[in-house]
Amino acid sequence: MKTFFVSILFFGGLFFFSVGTIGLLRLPDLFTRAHSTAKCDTLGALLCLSGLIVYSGFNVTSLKLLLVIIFIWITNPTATHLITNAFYRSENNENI
Amino acid sequence: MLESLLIISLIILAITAILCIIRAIVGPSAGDRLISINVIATKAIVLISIVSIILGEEYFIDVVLVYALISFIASIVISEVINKSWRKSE
Amino acid sequence: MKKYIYLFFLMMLWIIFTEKITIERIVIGFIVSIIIYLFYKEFYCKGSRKNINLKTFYYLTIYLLILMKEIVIANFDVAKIVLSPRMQISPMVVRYKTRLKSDFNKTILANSITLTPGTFTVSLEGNTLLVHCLQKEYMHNIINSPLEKILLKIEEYSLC
Repeated sequence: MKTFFVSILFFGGLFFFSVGTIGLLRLPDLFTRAHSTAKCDTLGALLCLSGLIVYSGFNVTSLKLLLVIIFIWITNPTATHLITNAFYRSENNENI
Repeated sequence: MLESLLIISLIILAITAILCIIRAIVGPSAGDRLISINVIATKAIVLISIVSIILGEEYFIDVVLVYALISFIASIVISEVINKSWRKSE
Repeated sequence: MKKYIYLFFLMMLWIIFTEKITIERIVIGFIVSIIIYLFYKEFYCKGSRKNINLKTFYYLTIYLLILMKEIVIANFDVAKIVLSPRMQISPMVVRYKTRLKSDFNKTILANSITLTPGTFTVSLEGNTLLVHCLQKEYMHNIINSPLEKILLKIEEYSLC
């Protein structure tokens, strides 16, 4: 049972990570690349780390992994937003 | 059974990180490079935690926490520097 | 009241970091969390007039469930666009005015627009959000999204 859950979570996470990488390589523009990476990385990290939580059971390690998940969910959209904000201003010459 | 699954996922994550490095080398502007380095940092977080579970060394999780903090601060600082340098040239 | 909740969160974080509970560690953690509280006091006690009540938690759980559903849909959309042999994208930038008042709720809305399908936030200044869309149809998703309505209801009941 545990094997089933962990393998499902890991396959989902690896699928979304590879989709994000293919999008990073194929899409034509900085902003569209940011689309693919911001979404796929967040869900891929969530699925892989929760697979590790199920694998290791309930102890202090899984609590720390939960903290890492929350931190990634807060910071990943913020980092994408800041990077694209800086480059949008420098490309369009406009003070928003 | 599960150990081999973890090792296979390590190999796939490493391959996707190498593909991201291609974008970081080719990328026309600095923003593409910054985004791909950010993706590599997220992949490295997952990779280090898988390694720590395989080896059974629990103190690697602290390394993961510190690495997540440092990568976030690095991407903020670099984008702010680019923003300011553009404003100064204006 | 709010001060004790904040100190309690800091102590829980310290206990998770140190893994074992002994007297010395708890004393050191208490001193460190009081110092951190004194450093960041003005950030946390600004603009909070009412307390957090039960209805806020109820709406926050609904918000999290809707957000999870939207994120899964968004990832399958991106997978569909990226893996199809001819990518059909027509990127465009839209200005969007929110009715939210507090800064914290605006930040939550901007971060969750980044995670919902086809859109992400480029800039947030004053009341105006600058949203980048991958296709033209996704623009209607933001304008009548359920997420902003729930945040407006949270703002009525408490300032969080």
